[in-house]
Amino acid sequence: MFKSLRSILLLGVLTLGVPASLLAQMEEVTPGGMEAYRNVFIAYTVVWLLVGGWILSISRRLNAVAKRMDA
Amino acid sequence: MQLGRIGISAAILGGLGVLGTLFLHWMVFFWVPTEATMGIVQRIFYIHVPSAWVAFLAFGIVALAGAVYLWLGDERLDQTALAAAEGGMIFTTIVLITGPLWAVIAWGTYWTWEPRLTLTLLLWFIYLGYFLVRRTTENPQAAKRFAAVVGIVGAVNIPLIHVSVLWFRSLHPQPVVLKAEGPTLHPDMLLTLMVGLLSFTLLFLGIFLLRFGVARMEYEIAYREARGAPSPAPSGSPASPAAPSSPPSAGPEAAPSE
Repeated sequence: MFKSLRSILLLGVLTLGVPASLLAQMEEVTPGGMEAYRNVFIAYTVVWLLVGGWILSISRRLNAVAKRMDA
Repeated sequence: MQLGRIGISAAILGGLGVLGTLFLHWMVFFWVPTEATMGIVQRIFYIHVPSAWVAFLAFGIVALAGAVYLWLGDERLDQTALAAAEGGMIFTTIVLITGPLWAVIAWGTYWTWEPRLTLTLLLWFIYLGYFLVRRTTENPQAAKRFAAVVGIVGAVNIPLIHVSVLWFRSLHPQPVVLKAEGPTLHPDMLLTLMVGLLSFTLLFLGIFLLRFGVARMEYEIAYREARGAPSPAPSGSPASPAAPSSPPSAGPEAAPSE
């Protein structure tokens, strides 16, 4: 029980600790630091979400038209 | 009733657009060099500029189709304008979201009321008005005509947005591609931008065709329901003579197009 808990804690420290040190380096070399990476990620996600949402809304309307055809 | 050739064209263009966009992502994140002063956030440029281009293209289509619709009254032109306006709204929204995400790093603020940003926001509101006019005007034929006028007026804003950074004192970066002395962008960055422009254009055209096809089908169904007969509707005749016997409130003029 304690052994597995210790393993989980160790894994958590490694997972959180290693990227944190890498991120600290990125902060030094990139203007805007982590916020810049976050904003780039959000920007590209927004494109996929909005374009995907548009396609989804069109496919819903297409299904509605098909149902009206069947009725 | 099928989408037919429109559906096939939409699938081909949209598929090429998606493949191009995936390739663009690879170029942006693994190939193109990082800009020296702005760093990683400059990579937003490769989706921001193509989105702006597609938004302008879409609203150009809205204005052109709207103008010819006012002249000829062909329903297909109104459906073209409607499909393009939806795309224009989507891509203008992308521009208005991605721009501030870049600006907060480059300028230290999400938004400033400088000419290009303000005019782009105005464009978004004008086309919001386009949809509101279509939805809120009681007479569907009048709604289409009013919307066409709004679309034409809105498109006047597009060249203003383009020249605003040259005519006014503006925080927004100056053009780096459309310059008299030629592009001043790094060749790899220019190529990535071109891939973005092509991909987004194909993606937009594919979805636009699909939306147009759905609008056609909606109109034809409404026409059939109004006539109470299974005969196919005319492909694009002017709305008023298309169903002379149909009641004004239930004829093809009342076909829900949004």
